[in-house]
Amino acid sequence: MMTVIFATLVAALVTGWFGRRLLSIVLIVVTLLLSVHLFLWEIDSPVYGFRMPWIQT
Amino acid sequence: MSPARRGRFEPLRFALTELFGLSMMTVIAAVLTAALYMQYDRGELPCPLCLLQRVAMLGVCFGLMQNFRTGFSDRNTGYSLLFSVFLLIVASRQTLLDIYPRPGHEYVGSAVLGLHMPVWSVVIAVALITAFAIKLCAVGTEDRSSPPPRNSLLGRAAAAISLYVIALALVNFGSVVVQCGLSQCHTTDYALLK
Repeated sequence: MMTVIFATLVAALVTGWFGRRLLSIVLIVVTLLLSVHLFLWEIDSPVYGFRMPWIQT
Repeated sequence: MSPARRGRFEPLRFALTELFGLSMMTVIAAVLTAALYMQYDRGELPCPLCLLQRVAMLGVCFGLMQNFRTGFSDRNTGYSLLFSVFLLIVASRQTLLDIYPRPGHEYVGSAVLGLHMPVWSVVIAVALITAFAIKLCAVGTEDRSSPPPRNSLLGRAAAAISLYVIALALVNFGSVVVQCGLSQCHTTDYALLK
């Protein structure tokens, strides 16, 4: 998944550099959506879910 | 202020906006270069959340680069701000994950000036959002204004830094391919070099 995110990010930057504005915007939005998805997957623990009980008093 | 007098300040406002974008891209490029230096010189492999923070910083650069390629637009600032907020969320969560010492949870990598990388990312994200806010308060918006001419000093500097940012993104892409392959990323070793 991380490889795909960096691939779409590089594609967005390169297409933006060559002036393909619409394509680059679609690619950067895809990058953001994939990144948010991966972030939520990474922090979702099978034990705690999204909670962080170690900082609760 | 009369329109004629205001018109005399327009070139200064445009120059300040261009300098602002250029400075911000330079700082982010320096941070990403330092991250690559720590990865390859000190052998500190980035964790998945660290890689997402790099994505966020490169995303901020996307909006700034678009300003210099296709003209200044509030939409481009919007993309940069979106990725700044994403950077703040990811960095805050990673800081909170490791803030309380427990087995298997300590900050990845070595400290720089007493702060670890996720904490630095929180500082950078807050600085980026604050800088955008101050710029909008002090200089205002330049929506629909043209980018600097490509043969001007600012135009050439913007092109050079933009190309450097693209090169950084390409190096990071190659690095992620070697570290993660097509599966989950680990901080123990490079997946394709086992």
